[in-house]
Amino acid sequence: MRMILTSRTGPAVANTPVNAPIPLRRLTAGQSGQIAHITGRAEHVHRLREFGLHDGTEIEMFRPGNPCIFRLAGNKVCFRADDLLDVLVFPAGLRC
Amino acid sequence: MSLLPRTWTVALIGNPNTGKSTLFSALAGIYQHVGNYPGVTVEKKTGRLESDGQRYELVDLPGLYSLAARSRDEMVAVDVLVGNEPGMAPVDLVVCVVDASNLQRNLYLLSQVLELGLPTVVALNMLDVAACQGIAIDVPRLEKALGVPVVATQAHKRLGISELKKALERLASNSPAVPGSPLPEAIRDECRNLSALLPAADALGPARAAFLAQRLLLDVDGYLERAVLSDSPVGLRDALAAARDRLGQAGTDLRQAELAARHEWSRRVYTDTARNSGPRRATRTDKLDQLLTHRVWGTAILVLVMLVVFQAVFVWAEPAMDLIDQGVHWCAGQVEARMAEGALRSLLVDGIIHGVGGVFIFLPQIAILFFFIAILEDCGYLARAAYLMDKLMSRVGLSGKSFLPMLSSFACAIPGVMAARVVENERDRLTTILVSPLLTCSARLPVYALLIAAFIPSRGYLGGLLSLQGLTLAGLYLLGIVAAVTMALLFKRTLFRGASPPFLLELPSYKLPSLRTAVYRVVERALIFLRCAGTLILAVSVLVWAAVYYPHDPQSLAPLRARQVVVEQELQTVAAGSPRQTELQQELDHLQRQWVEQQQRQSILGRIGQWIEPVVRPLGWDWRIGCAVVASFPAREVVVATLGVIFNAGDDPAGEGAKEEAEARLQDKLQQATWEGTDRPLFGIPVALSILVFFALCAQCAATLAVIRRETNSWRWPAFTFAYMTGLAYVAALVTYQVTSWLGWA
Ligand SMILES: Nc1nc2c(ncn2[C@@H]2O[C@H](COP(=O)(O)OP(=O)(O)OP(=O)(O)O)[C@@H](O)[C@H]2O)c(=O)[nH]1
Repeated sequence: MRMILTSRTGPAVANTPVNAPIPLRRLTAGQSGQIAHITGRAEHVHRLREFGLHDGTEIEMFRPGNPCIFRLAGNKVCFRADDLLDVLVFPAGLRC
Repeated sequence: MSLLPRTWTVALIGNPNTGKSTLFSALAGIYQHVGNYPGVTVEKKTGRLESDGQRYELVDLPGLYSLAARSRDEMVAVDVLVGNEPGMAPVDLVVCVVDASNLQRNLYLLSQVLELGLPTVVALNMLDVAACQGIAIDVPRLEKALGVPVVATQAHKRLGISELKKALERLASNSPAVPGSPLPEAIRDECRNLSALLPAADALGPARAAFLAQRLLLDVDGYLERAVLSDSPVGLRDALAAARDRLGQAGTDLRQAELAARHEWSRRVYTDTARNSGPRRATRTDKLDQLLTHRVWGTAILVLVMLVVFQAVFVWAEPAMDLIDQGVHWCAGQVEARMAEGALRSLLVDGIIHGVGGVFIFLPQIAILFFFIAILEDCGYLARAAYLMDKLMSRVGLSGKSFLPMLSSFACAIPGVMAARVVENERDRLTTILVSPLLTCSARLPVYALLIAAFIPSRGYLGGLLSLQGLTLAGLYLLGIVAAVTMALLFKRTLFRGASPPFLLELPSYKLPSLRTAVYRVVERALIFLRCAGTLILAVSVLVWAAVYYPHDPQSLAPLRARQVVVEQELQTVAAGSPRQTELQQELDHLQRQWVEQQQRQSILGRIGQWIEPVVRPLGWDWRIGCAVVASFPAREVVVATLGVIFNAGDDPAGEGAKEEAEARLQDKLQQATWEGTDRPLFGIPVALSILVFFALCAQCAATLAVIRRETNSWRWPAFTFAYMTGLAYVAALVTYQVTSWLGWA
């Protein structure tokens, strides 16, 4: 099994505090974040990327948890992480 | 050019949920054909379109996010596009359906499709949804950026359809050039070199061969690589390895390179042509989702919706089913009245009319269930239900997408198996299909009702709140659920082992469902069901009929017949109401039953029953019960009628309350039945329970098996389903009988 573990640091975007990446599902409702990297089997990671989850893509949490619902460019997507596959994000500051 | 107008093959491709099928229906109208691609479970939808003297053959490809195929199922789209699919003409034109509200992500697939070099038109669908989200797209600019024609459509309202047809005509008449590839030069060079080595390069032509070579090179560990390399010259394998080596040494990660190049291209096109007006406002969909995906309220609403659906299925289906039942009886009566008794009449009435009637009777339930599924899907609610149920279903190793098919199976396994189509992952889909028939469908209810009423004492507990009979029924439902869950877990650990692909599900915007779409789907599914189940059921019914009817030996029945004639003659002469008349009538009835019994015993079925008696004895059954179970193979509820015949409950009386009366009589008969030649009662609680458990778990439903065969496109899975369910049913019935006998339940 090959893991894709990108060792990028977060893109330096103004107003985005660059924290350590956290699993996507741990974002709180309404909080947004930027995809840092995806861990898992290479082919599954590839699938998520083809779906549109590229590093740096902005997402916003709608329903945290597992499965979670997040917003991706205006549309909602439901995703379930498992032991192997997870999406890690750089959380943005809590929006009020 | 020849005088005959040529037929252009047009492929419709797009991401899932972009409105592709809706667009396909709008173009093809009723000229559609649904089938299967050979060797896979993917549905093949083709249709015809004639417009302005041009003829088009349309192919609706399955929704995809990428052309990088990992399985045979996903390969179908690539095979159709390059003309590798047996029995299909190579594609001439492509319609790529793109969701305007998801434009940037959808462009990824488009960019792969454009590599084919085929004349392509983009159908920019869902512009209304995009507008709702404040996204404005400059269509002429998009056309320029993409380099191919773009037509704005709203498929569900049939807007833009005629423009799309015109665009197709233009493509057909002057095959325009197709824009270049965003891939790095180095990769394109390697693809060109590889394409010459492909085994079918000449047949494919340069453009298609180049496309195939590109997928071969880029899709590391993909399906194409496995398929092509398994039977291709060593030269290709080495060339592929060498090409990847060279690229790797130059620092190119192939997967990453394609993603990056296409992503960058999509981003550029998108920012160039789309404008997002201000910050996002909360749409109606968002407000609804606040409620409908809520853990508590959302779940409560889901339960409510499902209750309403099920209530409707049962309430609405009832009159239609009664009507069909009456129709079948009427037909049978007509035939009986017009034909002399004999093998042909018996075949027509008992084999064909009742056999086919047994299939039609399910149609109302199937149609109503599909109607609701279509409505729920069309309005966007289905995806939310899948989200809500995912947690529960993932414990069984499945995903939320399997929820609806499995729930439907509580009404009837047939729509359940057909609805499993929404589960894209093949392993999950097969698991869902294999366990769905274990759930208690409505056809089991007549069997349960009969045996429970006859043999389970009507004892009440907690002041009548709970009854033993009710508890038994609930227990049987529970048994089905437990068995389905256990088998699902088992299958996922054994047959369908392997890491599940990521669970990703788009939640479309809510919209008013369209009645037309729903009716369309219902008709489509109903026809598929009738076609595939109808033929098999007919064959099986005729077989079972023959097993009951043959060998027909009038000789051995002659003495009974002779006596019957004498009695009938005397009956004509005696006075009505006299004691002698009652006596004669009774003898006549008795003769009739003896006649049936004799025939039964010598029939093939009777012989099978006697032959398998040693096998069913441990379940507490005698050969007659064995017969009834064998004869109910086409449809399990037939066992009620078969038991009636076997235990001489007499003909169906006609008129008001006839059904209840017949049922009560059958219950009496069963209670009185004894082991042949003894006074020992045949049925007791242990035997009744063992039959109930058997029917809860067995696969006695030819229609379900036929539909499984259609959905999995092979006889292997229905055969497996039948074998494992029958095995399970046998073992469970055995345990039930032995344990309850040992406990001394009488
Ligand atoms: N609002 C809106 N809805 C649309 C439009 N076109 C189609 N739909 C709806 O979108 C939903 C999905 O349409 P389908 O035709 O089933 O989508 P598909 O691309 O075939 O989906 P797959 O079968 O998963 O490939 C349906 O409920 C359609 O009625 C449109 O232009 N605007």
